[in-house]
Amino acid sequence: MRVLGISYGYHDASACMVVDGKVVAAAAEERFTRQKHDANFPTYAVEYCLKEAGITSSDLDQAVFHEDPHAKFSRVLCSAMAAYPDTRREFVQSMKSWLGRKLWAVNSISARLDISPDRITYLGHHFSHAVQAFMGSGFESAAILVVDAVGDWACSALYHGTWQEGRPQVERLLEVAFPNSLGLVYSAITAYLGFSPNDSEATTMALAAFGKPRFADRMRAVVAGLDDGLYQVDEDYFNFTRFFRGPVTDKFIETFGPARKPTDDLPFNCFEEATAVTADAARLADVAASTQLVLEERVLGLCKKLHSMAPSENLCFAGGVSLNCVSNYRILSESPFKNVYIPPDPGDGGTSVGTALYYAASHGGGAPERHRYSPYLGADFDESADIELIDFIKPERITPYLKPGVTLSGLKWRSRTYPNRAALCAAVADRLMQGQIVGWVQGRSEIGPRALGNRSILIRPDDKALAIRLSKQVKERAALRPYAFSVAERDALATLAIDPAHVRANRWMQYAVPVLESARDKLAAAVHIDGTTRPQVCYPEDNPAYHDLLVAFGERFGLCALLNTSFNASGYPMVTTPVEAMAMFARTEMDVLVLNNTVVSRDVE
Amino acid sequence: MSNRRRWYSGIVIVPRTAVRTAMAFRNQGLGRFVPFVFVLLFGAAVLWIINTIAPLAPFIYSLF
Amino acid sequence: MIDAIERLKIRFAVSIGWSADPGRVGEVIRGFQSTEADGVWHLYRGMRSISDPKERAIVFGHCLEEESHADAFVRVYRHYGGRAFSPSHFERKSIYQGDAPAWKTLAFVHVGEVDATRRFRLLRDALPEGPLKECLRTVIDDEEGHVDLTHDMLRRMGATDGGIRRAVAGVRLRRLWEGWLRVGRRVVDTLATALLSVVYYVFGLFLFGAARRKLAAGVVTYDNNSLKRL
Repeated sequence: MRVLGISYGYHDASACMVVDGKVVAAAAEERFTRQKHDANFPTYAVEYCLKEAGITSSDLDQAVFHEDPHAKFSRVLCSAMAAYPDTRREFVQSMKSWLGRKLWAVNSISARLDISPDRITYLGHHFSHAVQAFMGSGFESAAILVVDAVGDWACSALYHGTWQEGRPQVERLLEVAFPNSLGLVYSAITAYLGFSPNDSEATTMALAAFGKPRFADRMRAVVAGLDDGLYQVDEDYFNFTRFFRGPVTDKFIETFGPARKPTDDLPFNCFEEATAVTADAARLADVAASTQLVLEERVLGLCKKLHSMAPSENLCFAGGVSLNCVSNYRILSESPFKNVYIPPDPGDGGTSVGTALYYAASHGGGAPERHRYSPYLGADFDESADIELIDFIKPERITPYLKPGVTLSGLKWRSRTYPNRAALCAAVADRLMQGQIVGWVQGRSEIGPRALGNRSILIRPDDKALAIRLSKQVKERAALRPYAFSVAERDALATLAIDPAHVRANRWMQYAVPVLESARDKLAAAVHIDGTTRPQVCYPEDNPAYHDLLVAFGERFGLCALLNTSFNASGYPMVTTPVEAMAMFARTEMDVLVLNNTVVSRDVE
Repeated sequence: MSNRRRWYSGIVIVPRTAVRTAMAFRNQGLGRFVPFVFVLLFGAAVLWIINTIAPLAPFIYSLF
Repeated sequence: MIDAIERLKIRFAVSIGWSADPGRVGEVIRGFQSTEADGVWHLYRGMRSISDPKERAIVFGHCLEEESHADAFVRVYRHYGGRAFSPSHFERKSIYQGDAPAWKTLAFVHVGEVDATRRFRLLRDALPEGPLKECLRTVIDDEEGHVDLTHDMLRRMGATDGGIRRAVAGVRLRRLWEGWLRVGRRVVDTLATALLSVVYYVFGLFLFGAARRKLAAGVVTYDNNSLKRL
């Protein structure tokens, strides 16, 4: 059975191909179009998935879409009317979008794939997230939590998943309705702090570590916790239905102070002592800290509620809020659940995977273990043609187009292909020890927002000055955003202050965990101001090449750990092809680029 | 049964979508919205027709 | 004649339109960034069908230039934008299919650049001194530097003079047609706004009460959690 999962329309469009119950390919559209969070129909992701499966769209048994457009339209229309007569602009914009395009999603999919509409299935958005979380977990049964901005009508939803007679059964327990949304609250406050909503929530999370939660009581009035674990958002603070008026209302401004302009400086720095912190900057950090604390409390409350309704050892968690790794760690360590599974792409980009697997298993049968998948499902590449062009690249031709502040110039590019992985890893490990910035591109790209060793930029994790250079001259990244590290499984407990039972859960950089005091010197560049990191524990069976590199580096450094950040420039998605990687290498102060077994460098003769 | 889309698929989808949408409103206890939804869908159909002749639209509107 | 009209239009937009609506400048800059980024994307795809590594290297250099322009517009946006930059998300459409010769994609990008540079020049002349004018100066200098280079390169890739002229004419016709469609769509859009506004004010009177009650409900009662077909 060949099932294509599709998600698109709001952000992070993606496609996933499932053949006989196994995921053979999955990718976000942004990786092909180079538009971050691209929401358009995933034409190129679908093309890739079909090609990987060796079929055309007419061979598909089913296409599955990740939301119910009719139900969602009812929510959109109702929201626009509820704030009458203040929402004319919102109504007009929504109706143009929905009546012109979004309501006809089934027709669009049918026309673009040239398949009969009888071959198209859809399911509610939160249900899509629920199956996304459950299907990849391998659990026989689990409680399922979905916390998102908003889907059809739900914002947060609780489910119970089981397998019966070889088919998954996911039963709804409770859905918290719009506009009672934790995700929208966090995004609105992200915008209030001057960052880009639906993109930079991680920056809000990073800023929180620099503040104190002195506004926590006020924030608890904004998002009140109820006795049974549920919550209530006071809409008077937000413009969820009047979105043209800005994310927050005057009442929010009166309570927490003026919003930050995006161009206003924030003096916080992960690597150096901050320059004088103004009262205003401190206030904003404290708002972030208060928001973060209250979000954690509410999510833990939902876990408590869910456990009372589905008293399982296992929790599956998905939805945009499950990208909040600080909150995730509190779930792992404090919630009533013993085992927690969060899929590698738990946001909207991963719903295409879950929906396709769910359809396949519901109709073809299966077993929980059969549907587990790794994150390395994206496009592979052949670098040979691109390596050839290196000899013809003229450094002086590149100099005018270097990123601001980059000073490398005039150095000829060289390439060397290594005969085997051991020789490659030894050479790259030596360069890392010398304090070089290495772009590491291997095999199939990862799905999801985290670089997990196939599209990564790596440096030695102890060198703060190098991390500053990485931030300024390569990633163009705000100084307040911390880095994280990958560690080989053998050294996980030598670096992380966590329960040994939780080591395996940390494979996909989903939890902000404390770093052992004894290891902080060696990992100084990859530890946040509060002593935590968001680690990737690398097992050899997950990523053999990356694991070998970590071990080779560990032989020299004394710890099998590397600072690992995603291989992308600010504002762009992760690179996919060698040429994109070479373009970023060309314009920045990256020292070395590794494309499978070939090392490209700019060495002085 | 062929998987391919038929020439009449679009025509079949439109009324089905309208019915499904109306059902969605009723399911959510918003039955009184249903007539309004049909007004909107009718308006959408009118705008679709106008948009289809959009290449001629500047000519047409310049006549008025 | 077309230049003169466009010059007037731009002067009017800058002196009146942009002063009345400061957000408009930000949107225009976003549009410029999108155009440059779109050029890069097409060039990357075109590169795939160039077999000669020397020609690929030249196109690669061209990609870096366009990318640096896109980045420059992002930096300028931060100055005028008033909010965090997020790129426009129009749908990427590959103009030519996989087996088309690479020079056709380059011709398409080249025509786009020539048109964009012409508009940039007019805008540069209309603007007062400031970061946007400075940015446009840099972009125009770069673009003017390689117009001839592109033409020579197309010939080296196997295009004949006649082929280039036909491809360029085809692209220009397509751009003209798309511009025409945009005008038509704007008319429809204005009509839609007017109609929907009337519908909103008339029907909203009867529906807002039910809508408010629905949003106050707190939990979703109807269970919509199953696989569905149309």
